[in-house]
Formats: sequence, C-alpha cells, structure tokens
Amino acid sequence: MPTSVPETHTKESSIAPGEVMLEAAGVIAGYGGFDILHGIDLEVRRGEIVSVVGPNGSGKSTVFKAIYGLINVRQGMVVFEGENVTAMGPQELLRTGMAMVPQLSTVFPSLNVYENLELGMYLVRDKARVKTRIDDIFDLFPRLADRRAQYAGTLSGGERRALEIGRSLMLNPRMILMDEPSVGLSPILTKEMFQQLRELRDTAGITFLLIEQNARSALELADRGYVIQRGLVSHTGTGEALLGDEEVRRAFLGG
Amino acid sequence: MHTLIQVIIDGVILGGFYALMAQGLSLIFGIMRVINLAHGEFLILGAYMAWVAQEYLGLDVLMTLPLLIALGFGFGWVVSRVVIMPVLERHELMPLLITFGLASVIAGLLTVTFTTTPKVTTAAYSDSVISLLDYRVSVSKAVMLVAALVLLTMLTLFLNRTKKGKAMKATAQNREAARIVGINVTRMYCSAFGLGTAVAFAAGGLFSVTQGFHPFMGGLFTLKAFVIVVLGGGGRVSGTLAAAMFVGIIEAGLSGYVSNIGTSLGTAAAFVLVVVVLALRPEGISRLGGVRA
Ligand SMILES: Nc1ncnc2c1ncn2[C@@H]1O[C@H](COP(=O)(O)OP(=O)(O)OP(=O)(O)O)[C@@H](O)[C@H]1O
Ligand SMILES: [Mg+2]
Repeated sequence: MPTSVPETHTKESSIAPGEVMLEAAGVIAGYGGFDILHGIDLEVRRGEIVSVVGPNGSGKSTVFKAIYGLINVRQGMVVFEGENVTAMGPQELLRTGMAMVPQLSTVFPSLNVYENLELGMYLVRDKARVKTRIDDIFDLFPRLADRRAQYAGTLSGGERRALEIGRSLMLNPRMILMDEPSVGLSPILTKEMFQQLRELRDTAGITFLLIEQNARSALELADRGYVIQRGLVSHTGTGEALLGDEEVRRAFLGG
Repeated sequence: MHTLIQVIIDGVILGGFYALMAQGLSLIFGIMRVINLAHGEFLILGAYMAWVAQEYLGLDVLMTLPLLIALGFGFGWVVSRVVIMPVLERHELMPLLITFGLASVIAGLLTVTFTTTPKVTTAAYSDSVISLLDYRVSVSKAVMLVAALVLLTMLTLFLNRTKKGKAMKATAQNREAARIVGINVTRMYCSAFGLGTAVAFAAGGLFSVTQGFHPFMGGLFTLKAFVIVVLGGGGRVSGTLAAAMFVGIIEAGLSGYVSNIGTSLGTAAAFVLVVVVLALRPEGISRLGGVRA
C-alpha cells in the first residue's frame, strides 16, 4: 500500500541551486547477466538541463533504467539529493521526487486522457488533490484539456508526448528523466516542447536529464551534456563546448 | 413452441452462470496473460466450500457468497504469488503446466476429502419452483442467474470506475508504464488472479445448489469457459455475456429436444464448438481477453 507521499515538493528542497542533485558513480548494469554499461559517471546539478547524446544502442536508455531501478545496478552507486537510491524502484523514487518519461510511448491506450493523468498520481489517495493537480496540468497543456475524455490510444504523437510529460508532472517531481521526448515530433513541435521544458525549469524549478536523438538541438537546449559510446561516457562539458568539440562534431553532428 | 421457450429460459440461466465463470478466466488472462487451466477446479472447490458451509455451519449459500468471494480471493492471491509469479518471466508454457498440475492436485485432494459421490448443497429455497403460465424455473437457478448478473456488474464497475480497477487495466495495457507511475505490478497480477478465482468460487457456490457436483467436473468447465471467452472476442463483458448465452442456449436446446442423452450431447457440443470456433475465428485466441471497457 502507498504510505506517505511527500506534499508538493517542487519549491522547498534541501539542495541549494547549483548543488549536485543526482550522481551516478561507476554504474555497471545490463540485461540477463550481460553488461551494457561499463562504469558510467555523471552528475546533474539542481536547476540544470543536462542532455545525454550518443549513437543508437550505446546504452543511453539503459543508463536511465539503471538510475530508475528498472534494471539492477550490478556495481556502482546512484545518489539522489544525498540519499543512496541505488536499490530503489520506481515507486520509492517517485515518492522521493524523481519522475521518468521512458523512450517508448507509455500512455495507457484504452484509458482516457483524464484517467491517464489520474494514474500519474497513483500513489496519492486524496482525490481532491489529484483533481486540483489535473487542473494545473490542463492549464499547462490546454490541448490535453480539450481531449480529456478521449482515449489516449487515439491521440496524435505530439499529444501523447504532452500527456506523458503531464503525467510525469502529476506528483510534482523535483527532477525528471526524459528519454527522447522529441521522438516522432516535427521540428516545430520539438522546439515548442523544449521551450516548455525550459519554462518548467525556470518557473517550477524542475531539473531535467534528457536523452536526445537530435544531438544538436539537445546540446543547444542543455546547460551541459554527456556523450555516451559503448556504455561509457566519452565526452562531457557544457552544451556549447560539446557543440564546438571537433571529435564530437565529426561523430554526431555531421562535421 | 413450448419447448423452445422453455429451452431459451433454461439456456439464458445457464448462460448467466457461464458468463460469470468465463469472465473470471478472461480477467486473469486479460491482465496477466496466463491461461488458468485450473479455473474449473477452482469453481468446483468453491462449490465444495459452499457445501461445507451449509453442511457444517448451516450457512445458506447466499450468506456464504461474500465469504466464498473473500476465500477465493485469498486462495487465488496466494496461489499466484507462490507458484505462478516465480515462473511468469520464464517460458510462456510454464504457467500453463503449473495450472494444469494444480487442477489435478485439487481434483485429487477433493476426492480424498469428499470421495467421488456427487454432492449437492441445499438451501432454504432448494425445492421451490417458479411457475409462470406453463413454464417452470427452479428458484435456485433463478437465484444463480440474478446473482451472476449482479456480480458481473460489480466486476465491471470495479474495473471501470475504481482506482484499483483502472490501475489493473493500466497494468494490462502497459506493464512498463504501470511501473513508471508507481504501480506494484506483482501485486496487481496477484490481485487479478485473486479476483478471477473469487469469481470462480462464487460461480461454484451458486452452481452447487442447482445440481450435483463431483471432483472431476472441473475440466469441462475450464473448457467451456475457454470456448466462451474466445467466442466472445475477449475481454469485454458484453461479448462474454452474449457468447455465454449462446453456448447456454445450445446446450439447453440439445438436452431439451434430445431426450436421455441430451445432457451428454450438450457436453459434446462444447467440444464441437471449440473446433468450430477455432476454425472460424483463429484470431480469437490471440485477442483473447484484452481487458477493455
Ligand atoms: N531489455 C533488454 N534486454 C536485452 N538487451 C537489451 C534490452 N534493452 C536494451 N538492450 C541492449 O542494450 C544495448 C543498449 O540499449 P539502449 O536502449 O540503452 O540504447 P540507446 O542508447 O538508448 O539506443 P537508442 O538511441 O536506439 O534508443 C543495445 O545493444 C540493446 O540491444
Ligand atoms: Mg534509447
């Protein structure tokens, strides 16, 4: 049974702006006894937008799954706001203030938009609070409000993404891991979505760790970035620095 | 004409019972993707529980029903937690084998405990018959139909209106996403299995008043439930209900028009239906039991 769920956590955090919020140290993990990650080190500071880029199959999504407890961390450590969360699963992490939007479409297709959002606050029993929060989300995504009774399976790709992001915001997380939020979105919609993420950071103080296929726009958006290749961090630095790096440009940005 | 109407009445009553039974199987498959080959034995187990409650505690079946539901839920929960969950991630045949084994174990234990002599639960209304014009329906069967429809409605409301029910459907639709929003998937699976078993127990209790039962009847029920779920197109309660009525009426028709061997013919008809259904709607298997509203 869900026990205690922190009240709205966004604003008050023990971590001051700029302090390390999430840290992965020497994370080794994989599937079925086969390692994909060979010792990932990364950190995210409070209020940052950090992008993770890298070739297909390099282990980007696997990093998120390891952090979020969807797969076992065989070696290494994940620390969130000073707490060792290495062994925690999604339920505990949600309670701690971290949400995740996975790579593949994860709406519940045969439930409507409203019910999908409700489930974003599955861990909260107070119905009135859920309702208020859904209204907040509808203010943020007016297009979802118009479709509240529509089955999520019939939404367009952009609307689905908005619904997933809205659902991840339901519990008022302080940090969100987003795996390729722009996948399937047109360049214009991608720009809009990035803009919205930046606004969420500026107004609600949410910290973002993003995986992006489109390395250039992801690094432009981000404060800092990590390049992952074959299960290891190969480059890291500010978005600008990575965009300017010869090697990174040659490998990912088409020269 | 008279026989036809009586057949339809009997068929609808049988169909209501079948619908309840099949919905339990469909629920378990829809949420967990497990075909529970012990479903019929669960039903018979429920029938024996009702019989015991009547025989030793003097409890009327309708009073026992909430108890049966609670017992069924607990039993199903424990069974799935202890023997099904550990093999769920392994080969997909494993749950099938496990439930098949479970079916023999239950039938065996029931034989040891109660012998193979058929039992029938008595209720205050056991001997009463409703006569309208020229048609006759035993009260116990009427009670079975009404209770089955009430329970089906409650199940539907649970799945579509309550938070736990929606979470259950959500888990069936996208397991990964369910975990992401903090749903405990293992617990949901066990609850679904428990709920399906509770439905089987309730169906068994209601059935136990209408006719004699013995430990080896379960397999046939499993088979019929399976036919109905496939025929009904899976998941939706309305589809299951229609298919159950269809099977019920065919069976009642065979026993109404063909004297003496009618009842066994009805049973044989279920086998024929499996073949026909699978030939006409082979896709019915793969779509079996997707839980929809
Ligand atoms: N569930 C799984 N079981 C086994 N292997 C997996 C599983 N998921 C991913 N892998 C393997 O792990 C490696 C890394 O996959 P991952 O999804 O982390 O890559 P990615 O960097 O996110 O790629 P993409 O950019 O295509 O999303 C791949 O070789 C993939 O085949
Ligand atoms: Mg990926």
